[in-house]
Amino acid sequence: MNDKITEQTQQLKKQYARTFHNDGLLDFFVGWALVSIGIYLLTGLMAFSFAGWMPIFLIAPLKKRFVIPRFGYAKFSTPAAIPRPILIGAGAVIIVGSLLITFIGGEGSRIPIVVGLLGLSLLFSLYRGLNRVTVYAIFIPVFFIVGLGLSILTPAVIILIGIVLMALGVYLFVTFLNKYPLDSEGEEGDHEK
Amino acid sequence: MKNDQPLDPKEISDLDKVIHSPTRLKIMLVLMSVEEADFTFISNAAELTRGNLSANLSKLEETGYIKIEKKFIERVPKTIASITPAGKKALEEYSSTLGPILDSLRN
Repeated sequence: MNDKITEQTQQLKKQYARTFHNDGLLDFFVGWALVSIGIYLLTGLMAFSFAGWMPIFLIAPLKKRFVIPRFGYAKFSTPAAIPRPILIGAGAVIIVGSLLITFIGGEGSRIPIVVGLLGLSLLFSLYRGLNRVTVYAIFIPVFFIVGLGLSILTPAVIILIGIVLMALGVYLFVTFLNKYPLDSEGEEGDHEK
Repeated sequence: MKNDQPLDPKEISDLDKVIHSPTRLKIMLVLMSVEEADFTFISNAAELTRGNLSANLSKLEETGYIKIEKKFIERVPKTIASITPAGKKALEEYSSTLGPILDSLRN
């Protein structure tokens, strides 16, 4: 394959993937997770630690409901840098590990939840090659570790940052809906020959 | 063609006229970047109106550069387009022909 075409198509592929995922859903749910973790740290109620990562399962249905009909469907080739079975295995280890530590751990059981959640994000980013997810996955654990280490990270700060990210997510989502309105000619997009 | 040689008009005549259309070139590049895509995605990615896209997809399909088929994606019927091996080869040849022409114009 011609190098210039390959380079060009790689750039386009990344650009489309970014646009496709620039719907604010990720930002909203990262914000949601931070708010939940903040409330959990504040109240100690375990329900909030689960509430932080459970909505990750809503991303796919929401994509299907709002994003694909507007931006369209595309199958991107070779997104995975790591084989899928390894990713699924690593994800399972992270989930089970963080849950076990949470249940059997004492006072020091908070950080594994956060690191586990962001570990999942990092795996997802490796799989999809998304830069912003990588930023979240790397930045937030560092933010927690440094913040907790320096004792400057209070639940209120975590909740505040979460609210900002949720607001950013809502803004991006509304912008996305306005930029890509539902086509009045039908979602299917008939191709008349 | 070497850069120090004069531009041979035949080189320009050799350009694939199906791909040489800016609209069809955009479609080909979009489809080159994905495994397959539906009508809405191509329309958004290539920034083309539905009418324009439809006519040019038909032309590309007629020449065998792309394949168009109806598929159910998540139980929703979609018109899916994908580039064919012949389309990839044609795009590569187009790039190989156009590259030296552009180079000779720069020098």
